[in-house]
Amino acid sequence: MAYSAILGNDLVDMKDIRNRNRAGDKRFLDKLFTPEEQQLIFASNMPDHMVWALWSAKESAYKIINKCTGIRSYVPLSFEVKLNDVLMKPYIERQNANVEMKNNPGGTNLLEGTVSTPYLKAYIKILLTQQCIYCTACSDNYDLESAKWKVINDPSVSDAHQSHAIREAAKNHIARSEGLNPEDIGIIREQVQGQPGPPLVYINNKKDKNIDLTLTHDGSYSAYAFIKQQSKFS
Amino acid sequence: MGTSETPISREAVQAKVLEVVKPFVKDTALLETITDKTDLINDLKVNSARFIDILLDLEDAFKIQINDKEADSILTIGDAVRIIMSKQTHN
Repeated sequence: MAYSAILGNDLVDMKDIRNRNRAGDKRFLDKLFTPEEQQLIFASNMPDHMVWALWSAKESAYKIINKCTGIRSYVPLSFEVKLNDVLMKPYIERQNANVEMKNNPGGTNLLEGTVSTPYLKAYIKILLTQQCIYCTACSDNYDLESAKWKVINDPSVSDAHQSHAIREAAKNHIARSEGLNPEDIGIIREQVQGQPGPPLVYINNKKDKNIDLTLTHDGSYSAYAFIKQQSKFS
Repeated sequence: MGTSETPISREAVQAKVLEVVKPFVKDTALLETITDKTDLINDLKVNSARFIDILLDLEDAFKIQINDKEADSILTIGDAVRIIMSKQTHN
């Protein structure tokens, strides 16, 4: 049986002053988080980071839904994040996933869990550092483990060039993974109902439906995640 | 501004909506071609996290409450104006 796993991702630059001191903003919290999620925030020893960790999880799940259905409807309170363990654990870099962040005091921590939505359940991995929150979500827990991704921090890249820079980084990684040259890879966002759709991977000018790619950026950070669809048999 | 006492014109509401949105748009050149159909996220490149801040600022600016369903229906400048105008009509 053909099988498709879909990815979504999101990141938050904690250096942006507008992302700070939100854990005490009750109006803000009530718009976005269920009472159970607010408890997670209040119980955390990094409450502001937990705010954006939960937010990035919901956003990542929303991206999966939007990619699968084209639906833009998004009521954050109808997306419920559950964490496997409220305690953050140190993140250990893997070969297929890494965080390129220099001067990263405190190291990188990991949260894992799920986001239940009206449309699907997404599985999440959230990385937290002092300066950045990053989430990868996948429609399948097994495939989340095999997703390849990278977070890049480059304050020297302007907003206008950030999109180009992260696409180039993703192209290079996909090319390495597929045994191709980066110039064989294209990343294109087609218009869907007059709006830019999700990024699509082209190999030698032909759309590759087996590679699912997701991109995100905020502030000086950008990130990509991709997955090669696996064939499973029922 | 008391929305229930003195309803303001659609043009005035739109102008005030643009005032609220402006600080959240990095590329101010994008503000020069705004119409009702201008999409906050896709056209003005408003960060989705900042979209919530826009909602809160609209609530403050117009002294209204925007519920989840209404917030979900706001994709464009015109959508925001429509929601705010409807609250004036109903108050």
